Amino acid sequence: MKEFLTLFRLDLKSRFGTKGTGKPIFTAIKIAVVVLLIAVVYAAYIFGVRQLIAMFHLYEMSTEFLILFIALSQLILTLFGISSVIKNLFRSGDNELMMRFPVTPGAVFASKIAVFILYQIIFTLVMELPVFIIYGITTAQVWSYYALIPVVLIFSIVLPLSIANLLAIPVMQISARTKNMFTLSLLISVILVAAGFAIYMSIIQGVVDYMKEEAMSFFSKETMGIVSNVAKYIYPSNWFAYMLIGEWRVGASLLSLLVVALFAVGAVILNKKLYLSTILRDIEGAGATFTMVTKNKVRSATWATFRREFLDIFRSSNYSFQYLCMAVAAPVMVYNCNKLAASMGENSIGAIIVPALALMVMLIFCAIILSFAASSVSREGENFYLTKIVPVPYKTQVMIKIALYMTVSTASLLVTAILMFVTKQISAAYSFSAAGIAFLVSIAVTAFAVRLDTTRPQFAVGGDGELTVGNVSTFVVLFVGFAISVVYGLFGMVGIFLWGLTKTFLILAGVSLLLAVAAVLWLMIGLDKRYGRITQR
Amino acid sequence: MSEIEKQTGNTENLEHLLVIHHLKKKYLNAKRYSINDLTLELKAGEIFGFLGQNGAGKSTTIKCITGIHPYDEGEIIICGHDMKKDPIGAKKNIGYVPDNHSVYEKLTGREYVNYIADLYGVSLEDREERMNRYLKMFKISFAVDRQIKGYSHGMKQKICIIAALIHNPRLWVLDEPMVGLDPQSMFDIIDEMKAHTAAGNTVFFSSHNIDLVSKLCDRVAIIHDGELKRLINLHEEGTRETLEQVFRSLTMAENKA
Repeated sequence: MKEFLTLFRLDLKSRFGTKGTGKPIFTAIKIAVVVLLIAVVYAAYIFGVRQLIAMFHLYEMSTEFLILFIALSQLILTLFGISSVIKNLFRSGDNELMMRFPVTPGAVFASKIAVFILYQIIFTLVMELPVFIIYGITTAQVWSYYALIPVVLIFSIVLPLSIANLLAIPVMQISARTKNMFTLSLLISVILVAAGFAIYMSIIQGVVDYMKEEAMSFFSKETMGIVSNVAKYIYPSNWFAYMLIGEWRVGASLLSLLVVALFAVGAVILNKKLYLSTILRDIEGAGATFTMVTKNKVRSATWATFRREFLDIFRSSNYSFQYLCMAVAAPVMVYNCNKLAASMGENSIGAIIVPALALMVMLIFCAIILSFAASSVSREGENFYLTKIVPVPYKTQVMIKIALYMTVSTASLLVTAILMFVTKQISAAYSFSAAGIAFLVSIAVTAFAVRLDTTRPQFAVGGDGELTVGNVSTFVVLFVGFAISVVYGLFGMVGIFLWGLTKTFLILAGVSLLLAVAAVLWLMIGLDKRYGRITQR
Repeated sequence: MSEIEKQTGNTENLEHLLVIHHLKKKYLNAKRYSINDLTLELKAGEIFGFLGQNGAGKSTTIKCITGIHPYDEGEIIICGHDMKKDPIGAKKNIGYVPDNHSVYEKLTGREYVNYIADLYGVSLEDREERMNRYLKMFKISFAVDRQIKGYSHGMKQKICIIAALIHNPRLWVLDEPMVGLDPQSMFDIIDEMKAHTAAGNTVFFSSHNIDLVSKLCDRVAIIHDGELKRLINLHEEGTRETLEQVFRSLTMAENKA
């Protein structure tokens, strides 16, 4: 117990114990903005859920809502759980250090899982508790419903946690086996992501087609029948819901308890048997490298830097997923969104707004891909000194990075444009115009992202040479990128009706050009001085 | 134009390959200067040692010389190129081996050395000759096509040294170069330092190893609290034998004060 408490305290301290080095006023502003953003998003979530509960209640489908909500939140918590378990238990970076201390693997496991449980409790409470209360009030539940909320919350914490623990070890085993198979890993990720999007979109397409053919709304008799039937078979979420609302309470409670206990025991046994060996294999595997015989070859400094930057991304599964995989998946997503919108009807609003919608989805993907540029300096980590000592001007180095990011996003935009034109979703002129506008916005977003990172880089890289903490600039760029996408999308959709597509695209192109010029100037002016000031002690 | 003039990009008579005048450096939010009014002039063909306790300012000085850290006052001139006014010209003449032997670990050893050679514009003939020579000297030919991530501490240090020497720099700067190296590799580096200076170049290195510095260097500077405390010509009689004593007296007296 003493060992566990010491390690737990150490873990918490390493996560939250450091103070920012910035000025207190900036830290306070940053915290205030983050709190405000979270508050807005959370208020929107609660408001949305309240409306949904009211709607489902109105159509006498409140039980189905509860089952679907529990199932969805369990799914989210499980997915979040798998990534957290891998990050906290197996890839936390201090495992090698921990193994040297005279502490048992059990104590290390317990201290790490405790932090994860803490997160899981917070997420579950934030996500589920207010919904259960709103549901109870709206559907006028009795005291036993409220009394059983804590039990369901405990089940909701333990079940995803156990499933995540059970799945994390096989995921670790697969990742250890495919560690240096860069092309294969990228190919598999691309196929999985593209297939995921395609499946997701075809499900939505199917729902839209069905509703169109049957001329029915979501709350039509037929749809309600389908939802009710599906909800009946979503185990064990339906048992949790029945337990709460008092429908077949004893049986549902016993089955819920049995399932949760089974998964929990399974997770404990699996971890007891394989936790230490998986950690050791991962530590050992960190040094597993490849051999590639090449010849000495002369390249220009520019091309050599470009190539080195690319290899740094390509030879990392995290980076290549975030950057290359998304670029490949973008055309699939844009194509499917357009198809869905167009299927709403030849002359309906859906078909008319397709170009604006396509532009919005293109911009969203550009924002995701180019948010990577917000860590262009930070990713150098311990090697940052090399960028300072080599006889290549800072401006050239930064421009090479930008060129690399732009090459991939531009290729993705071009493929998207060709796909839209070839499949006759949008005419050639408008397809390439949309790609052109997205290209200009991409320049603006990239320059903005690199500017942020040259102002305040965070060199927190792990033993694998990869960023271990989320870069604030990345979130800022994502936020700004999404905001631009939404504004452009809405402006485009409205503009098509007000001024027609050509004029709307011309206005957007003009604005994008201004944005690009402004962002590039903001980046380039004083770049040498700013870059020169970046230091690592 | 002679070979050296071509290499340095400077036609002036280069008696001093590194000139540091009244250098001052203060870190952001620091109360005192990490380097305070440091002046040094390093001649062509000498091995120059830089001694000091932890935190004395050795690494900070080296980082200013190599262009990693900006500095507040003074000037640093490398082969006639001012680091502030002509950083590219200055950097072309430096080969730097850091104390933490950081390199791009996702590359193979050959890819890394080729990358650095490309940045310094080294011809194929030169890089092949130098790479083969150093790989053989440091006995890591067997690992050159392996990813650096799997290298040992010493192997990473060696690949850093090869990359630093691939463009045959006039000024070779090393920060604590012997840490973690096996004895044979240390002897090899010492031999290369001697060969490098014999060709008219300069070696500037920091170390905690007073014995090594006294045996290897032509001159040595002792730095304490960012200030130059003593510049010693080790060719003067008795200076090698008394170096440790001098170092201790200078740094201990300061600590007591």
